[in-house]
Amino acid sequence: MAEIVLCRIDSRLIHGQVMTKWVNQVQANKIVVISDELAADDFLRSIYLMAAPSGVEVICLSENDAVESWLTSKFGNGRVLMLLPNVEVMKRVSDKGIEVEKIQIGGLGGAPNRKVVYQNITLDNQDTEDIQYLLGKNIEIVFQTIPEDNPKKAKDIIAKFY
Amino acid sequence: MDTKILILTHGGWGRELLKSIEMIIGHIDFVEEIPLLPNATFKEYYSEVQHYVKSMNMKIILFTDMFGGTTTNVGAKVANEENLKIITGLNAPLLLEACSQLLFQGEINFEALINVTRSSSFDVLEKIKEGQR
Repeated sequence: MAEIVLCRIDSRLIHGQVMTKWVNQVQANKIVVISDELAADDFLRSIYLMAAPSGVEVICLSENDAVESWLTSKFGNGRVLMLLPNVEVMKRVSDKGIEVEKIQIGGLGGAPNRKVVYQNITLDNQDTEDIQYLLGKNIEIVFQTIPEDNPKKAKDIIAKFY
Repeated sequence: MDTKILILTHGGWGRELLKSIEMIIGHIDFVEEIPLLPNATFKEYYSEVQHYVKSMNMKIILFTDMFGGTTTNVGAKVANEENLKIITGLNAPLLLEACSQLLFQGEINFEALINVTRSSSFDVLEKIKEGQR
């Protein structure tokens, strides 16, 4: 059974911040990316695999495959950094059985309909509802871009959104 | 000029690099940059780059700042789809070489560019001592 050392929602999935900062910070040796889109894109997936730091295994799973892998083997073994592209996917896989105690929100994009709530992190109405739903399941949720930043509690951030 | 150089960097330092290159080689009008801004998603940045490439009716070569970053992830996807060449590891010698190739030969010699980039980083004093031996 693997240990989820970090569950991060980041619209860029595997990129510089994740590889240079978070993988080292949490001493992860496995990255599990949950994204139907990435699981279906062979080319992009191979870029992500190549870009992974040595000693770190990268697995890209569709939402259903991730749920199955979790329910049957808890992602196998290792120290897992779980990455998801948005809050919606997090809510879905959480409802289907993937259990996490803590979620870190690192980046959700900058579309014009979204409101900046903390540094470069934005929210829209649906995200805010989904975050409240997840908080209701007793999951701790923080906003944090890089390790040097103070993690901000979702409850306080959401208060700013309204 | 029928070739454009499109630079993809984190935050937009390519534009500053271009200014430095222009100090050496003079005004350049065939280099463009699409900076990756801090809160852009992969998808947003991808559609920006893809749209630019499709709207240009000329040859495009992509330079990105580093492998593993979203600039290169997006650049590689677009290059793969649009059949473009892409080099990562953007630095002053690479941009200078590419600009001078386009100015003086009118086209890009891709192999030569890659070699310039590859050989541009070394231990300077070590190299000088080697030369003196």
